Amino acid sequence: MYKEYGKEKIISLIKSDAPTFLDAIRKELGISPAEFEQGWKTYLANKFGS
Amino acid sequence: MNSNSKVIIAVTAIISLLIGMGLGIGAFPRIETVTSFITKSLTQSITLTSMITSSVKVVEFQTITATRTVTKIPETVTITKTLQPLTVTVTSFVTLKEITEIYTTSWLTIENEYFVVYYHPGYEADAEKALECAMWVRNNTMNKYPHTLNVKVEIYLYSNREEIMEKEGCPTAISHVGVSGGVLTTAKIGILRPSWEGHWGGYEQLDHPFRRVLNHEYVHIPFYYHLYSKKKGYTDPPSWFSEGLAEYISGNYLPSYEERVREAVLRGSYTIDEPYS
Repeated sequence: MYKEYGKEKIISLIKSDAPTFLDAIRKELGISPAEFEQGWKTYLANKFGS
Repeated sequence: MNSNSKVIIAVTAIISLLIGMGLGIGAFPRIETVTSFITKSLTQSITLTSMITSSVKVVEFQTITATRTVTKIPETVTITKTLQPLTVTVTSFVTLKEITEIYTTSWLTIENEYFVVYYHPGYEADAEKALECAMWVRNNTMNKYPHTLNVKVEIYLYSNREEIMEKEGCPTAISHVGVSGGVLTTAKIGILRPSWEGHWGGYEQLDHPFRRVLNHEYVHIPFYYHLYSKKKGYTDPPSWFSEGLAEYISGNYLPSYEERVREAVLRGSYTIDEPYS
């Protein structure tokens, strides 16, 4: 996640004024939680080959 | 006056005589004064922390685990003072059982511009090492997570597992962050001393286990400071975010992590909400 988005985005995610963490992902990373999760699963699939 | 009281007075007299003669007691030949503190219940056994002084200087602290005995000729004797929360005044005799690790409620400190290290007498080398590691940890964290703290981070070095469990309720390390009115008021880390040679939650498999654990706890301080000082916004991030970020910045990656992720992938149980549960 850090490598994907960089430290500025990570810090903005922490400091976000969005009401929930999922809202913060949407606002600060510019993607939906579903897209974020899909990215995570794709990373795992590539790493573990499942 | 009952028989017990008579024996107590006799024993006190013996101790006074020994002190007055400048003789040692047991294994401490240069003891001039011995003051003992009760730190545990007296039901079956008691633990005494002795502050041993020579003239005006504290020489060392020792914890003595002792068992109550009914012998009329005690091998050694207590007690002059009790510590909170116990209010028991002990007038019984004890037999010296064993001497365990240094353990005391007293703290000494060393500090620099960014940290204050609290340590127990006898652990000066640990304190120096901790301060050195803390500066490394700060620099490492600043590179990946720039931040400014308006207070010095306090690092409490606990002597052993028993002490950190008693004082902090955790086995290895913990961080405390206090924010009031958007201002950081407390930044504290409780951690085992650097020379601790027991388990470090798995980090003993890697190099520099103290520094790794310290770095992990340090990352939590700016993280929760930024989180709690917001005027509005979420304050309950998922644990994978807070703990994962602390591990990433610390450069920690235990061999067990990959296996746990692999198992979870195979189960199909990883989600954005609970990927590390």
